[in-house]
Amino acid sequence: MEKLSFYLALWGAKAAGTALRWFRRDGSGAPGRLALSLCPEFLSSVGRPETLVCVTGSCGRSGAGRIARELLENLDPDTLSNDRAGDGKAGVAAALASAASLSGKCRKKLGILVLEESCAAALLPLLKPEHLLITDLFRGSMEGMPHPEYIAGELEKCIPPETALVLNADDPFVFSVAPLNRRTLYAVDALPQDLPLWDHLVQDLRLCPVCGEPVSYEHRRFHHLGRVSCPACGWHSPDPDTQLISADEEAGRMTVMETEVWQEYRLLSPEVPKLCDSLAAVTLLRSMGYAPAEIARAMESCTPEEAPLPEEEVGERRLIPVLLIGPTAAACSRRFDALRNQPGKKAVVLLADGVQAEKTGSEDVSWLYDTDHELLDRPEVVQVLAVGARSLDVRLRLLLAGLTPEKVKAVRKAGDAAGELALADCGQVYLLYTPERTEQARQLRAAIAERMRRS
Amino acid sequence: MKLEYLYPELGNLYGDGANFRYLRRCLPEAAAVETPLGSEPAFVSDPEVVFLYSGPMTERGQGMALEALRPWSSALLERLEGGMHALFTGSSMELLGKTITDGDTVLEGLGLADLASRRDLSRREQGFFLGQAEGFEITAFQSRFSQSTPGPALQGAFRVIRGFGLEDGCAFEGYRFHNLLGTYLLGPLLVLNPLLTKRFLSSLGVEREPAFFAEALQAYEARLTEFRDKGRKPF
Repeated sequence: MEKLSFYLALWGAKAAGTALRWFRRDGSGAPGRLALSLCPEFLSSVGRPETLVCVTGSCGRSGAGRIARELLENLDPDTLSNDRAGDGKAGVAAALASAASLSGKCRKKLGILVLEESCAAALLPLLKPEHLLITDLFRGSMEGMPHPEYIAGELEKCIPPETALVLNADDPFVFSVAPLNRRTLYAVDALPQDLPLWDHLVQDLRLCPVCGEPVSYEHRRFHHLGRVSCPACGWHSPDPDTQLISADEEAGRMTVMETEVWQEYRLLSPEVPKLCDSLAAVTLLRSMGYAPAEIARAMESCTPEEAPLPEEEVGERRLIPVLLIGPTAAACSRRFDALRNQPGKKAVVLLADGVQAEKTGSEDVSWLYDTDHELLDRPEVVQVLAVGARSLDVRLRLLLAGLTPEKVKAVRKAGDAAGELALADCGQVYLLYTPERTEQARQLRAAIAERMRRS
Repeated sequence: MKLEYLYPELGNLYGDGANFRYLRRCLPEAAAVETPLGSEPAFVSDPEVVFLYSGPMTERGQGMALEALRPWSSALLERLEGGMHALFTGSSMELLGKTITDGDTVLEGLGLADLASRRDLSRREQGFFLGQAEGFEITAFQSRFSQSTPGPALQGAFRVIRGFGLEDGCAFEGYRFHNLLGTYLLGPLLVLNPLLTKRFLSSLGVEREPAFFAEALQAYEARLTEFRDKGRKPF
């Protein structure tokens, strides 16, 4: 009976995947959801590639995973991935079903799966990847992973002992995971491109995990990321195996040092978080045994990340949609931080609440109070529109962050937001949205652009 | 008048530090002090401290906080008996109870509240909470691995309408001990419940509306409508 349900699930998922491709609606985990509903043990039974790589982390997994996938595909075009299916359990099931033969055996030799952290903890014992990259660990929503210490603990319980790890040496919650596993560490030097450090509300490593005394940072980039040590007991960040030492935007090159050998790679983006993603991907492939020159050649064909919704210039103004990873504090704070360092007067539209909770429950707003909305309290930010079901909560949060009431407006319906924008004073409009709100953001972007044309 | 945040480096999960920051906005005339782990709390020797806050912390943080606070538990009891207000949210509320049990490990609490807590990391309770205070409803969120058994002497804080009480089947959530409110409720509680905050300020002798009262009330009323909606599930 179990075998029957597996084959029904497999064939059903493959048929659903084919149908979606025909209708150009592929890019969903629907085939995977079907497979799991027909056979909850599907992932235990479906074949996996000979070599499987997994990537997880809070903020960096999508970027690093995308670059790593492109590199692997450039080196081996027949690489499996869940790039289009999503990073949850259903996405993994969809990807593996798609790559499987009718008997369930995997037809691909190499695969890379990007996994959301809680999903990683559940799936790693089943998938048993040969390589696992962990990019960073941050607090998530209340429903997700509340604290990086907890996430690290859950991951550690689930990482197979034979899995080779690639770990961010700048994240103390990451580099401490599974100390007995083979590991390769990477870190990014202090760079001229680093933004001035903000005193974040959340900094989850203030006390030494060994002795409990206050820690000290030689260089801190963002929240708890950086080179850290304990003056009391000597615990400290490990030396990285690969280190990004410079990024030259003009030359389009980044330089990575390994012991005393350095290699230049194509610079996909000068933004520091994206440099971290590139380094993570390079280090992963180095850990897999690819030579630096080989990876550098493959990187020449990688594409810089494309925003789902492009920027637009309308007259003298710019409309800049910005995708947030999710309604999570670190992701939003990063975007706010980048925004505050952009010159010029700007309006900000926040379309960042979740969707599912609104249908069946009520969305928790505690993450708003871990997010540094204070970064938006600047003279150049002339207006912030809080849009959506939680707009009243976001408005309150912005007022508590110090923004004056004249600057802040709550707009319940996205369709009304464009009309509420104070365009007279600003040269840029930033539209920050979460993946769940992409379609609404698309419509809102069009409405804002139209308003800009008419004004 | 002074407001004290106890061990902020530990008790800051779920954005709950905003309870303290919000109260500071409501009481701009009050001084604020943050007491790090290992320091003598200000309430021990400073009678100006009228309010003490402690927030949700990790399981490891609870152990550290307990050991740091233990030498001052008599002083804490004395101050609470003397009328000092306090708010302990999330897992920090367990510190004041008798025991915190996690499998075979039993942590001795400070023993001020008639409460015994037990942790189970394989079971997380989370969702929204709707409760009844005196004269108004409470909206909040819950996310916890623990349950707490109230003793007969414990005075409950909020009657459960929807969501979880202190433990399965318990009709109330949170507890009151003199002017201390201990609760698993997250939100942050004071920000999400302006009527509660107003009542709290009054209890401190301050008769004024909380900061951004109108906006907080609008958000509260919108949430109340959602929480009362039987079509929406609390968990």
